[in-house]
Amino acid sequence: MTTLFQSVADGVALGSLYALAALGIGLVFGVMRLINFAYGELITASAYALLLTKELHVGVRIALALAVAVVLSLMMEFVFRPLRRATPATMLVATFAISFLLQNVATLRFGTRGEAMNFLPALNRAFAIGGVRVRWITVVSIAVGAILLAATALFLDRTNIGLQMRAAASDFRTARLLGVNAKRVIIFAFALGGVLAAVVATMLAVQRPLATPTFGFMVVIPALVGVVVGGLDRLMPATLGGFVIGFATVILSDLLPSEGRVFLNSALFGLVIVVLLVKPNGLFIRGSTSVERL
Amino acid sequence: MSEPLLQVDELDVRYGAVKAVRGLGFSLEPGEAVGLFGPNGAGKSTTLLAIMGAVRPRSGDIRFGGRSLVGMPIESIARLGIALVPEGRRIFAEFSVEENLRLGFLGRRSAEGLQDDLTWVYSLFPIMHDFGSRPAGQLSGGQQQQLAIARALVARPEILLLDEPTLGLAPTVVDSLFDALDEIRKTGVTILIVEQRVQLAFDFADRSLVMRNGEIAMTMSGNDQLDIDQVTAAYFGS
Repeated sequence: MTTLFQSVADGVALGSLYALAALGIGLVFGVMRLINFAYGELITASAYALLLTKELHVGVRIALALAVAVVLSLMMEFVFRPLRRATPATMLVATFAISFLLQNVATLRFGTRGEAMNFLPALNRAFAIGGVRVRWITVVSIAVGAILLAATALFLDRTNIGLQMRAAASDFRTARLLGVNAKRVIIFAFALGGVLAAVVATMLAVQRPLATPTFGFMVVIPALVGVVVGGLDRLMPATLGGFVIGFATVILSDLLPSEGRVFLNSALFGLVIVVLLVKPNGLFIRGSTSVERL
Repeated sequence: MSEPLLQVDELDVRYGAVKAVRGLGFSLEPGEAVGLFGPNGAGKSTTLLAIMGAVRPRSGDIRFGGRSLVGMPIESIARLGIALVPEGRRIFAEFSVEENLRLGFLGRRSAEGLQDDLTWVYSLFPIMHDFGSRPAGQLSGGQQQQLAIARALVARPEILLLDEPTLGLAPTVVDSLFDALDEIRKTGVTILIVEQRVQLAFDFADRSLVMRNGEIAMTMSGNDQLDIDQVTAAYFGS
């Protein structure tokens, strides 16, 4: 029972991080129809910002990690701008190219072995509740994930720019015909995506203390799978999909015997294939996909 | 006669090799209502989309208040005072009625008089007020069309472009829609309406144009009697 509780807590924590990454990917997809594979490099860039600011105050380090992710995300938007009218395949290949370019830049500058970020290691300490040991970072990840998801939902639901982003995601041309500023909503989506990437990076930096060139890439792949499993066409199901993948990863990892854990990814992706065969539009999408995406 | 509010000159629009609009020229005077008729594929909707900047002309010019609209972003044109009620309504079905109307505010040049405009729109279409919090997709077809028009009106446009507003509506609903359009024109809004119900739109308009193969095939004044044979000939080119 205590093991199950521990697994659930860890699953919710990892699920929260994947959900945030899925939300960041989904926001940009909503307004641009662009699956940004280079999203992981925003997380990586934030991680390196934490690495390079080891001597500074934790608040400054978080602020710089945020700034780096947002600025890099806006630079990506600038690069993708001429491709807005390109085919989805062209845009997808472009994001691959940027992803690999940035990974290689990181490899050249920092090498592949990874360097310790030394970011809030105290949060890895555990406390006991009824015999179950829970790490502080698990609690922090769950709390931050819940707060950010709720804040983003409120932002989209209650603010004018949120309404415009939802309209642009639902029917881009009609939104523009009404006066929605296309450039503005796209920039907002990228900026918000950058903020979420930085938050994921800071949470992960506690748990996986080595900054490597593939630090973010390893998060984005399962998050993207989650987005597809949840339903690419709508933001909240996509976010939920990210959560489910994170949660399932931890639960499967605990269920598998220790010698079978090398097959964790095989088991997970096998499950994904079954889900997509049964629900090709996504686990949380009912009926057709021609609906609002945010 | 005063300077035209909208002037379309030698407009050419192509979709790949297909010439959708060729050498089109017409103007809209301030406060007039103009009907635009023609068979499917004549280029009517393309003309409206070209005015809004949603399709790029290959050549020619579109001037609004003396200013060329060609090459302007769609949203900038919308914010200049031209509103389109698109074919098929294109309301945001999952948004509330009120949210759909709020999106219409974006086209306004000024927030001044917003409350008065909203009050007027509610008096014109009371359902917009009564069903404000309801998802727009739950409205009937006629109510959705009212919403699409209301959404355009809250932008306080100088020119209202309507693309087949009666498509798929019951005859009684169509009549009440044209009653509302009559009220709208009384406020001085210039109207360009694309419509398949020729008689109804002809009676409503000050002037009517028939398009065929991307060109103006016939022009009719509101004082003319509608000659169905002549219009049919203009439609089909016989």
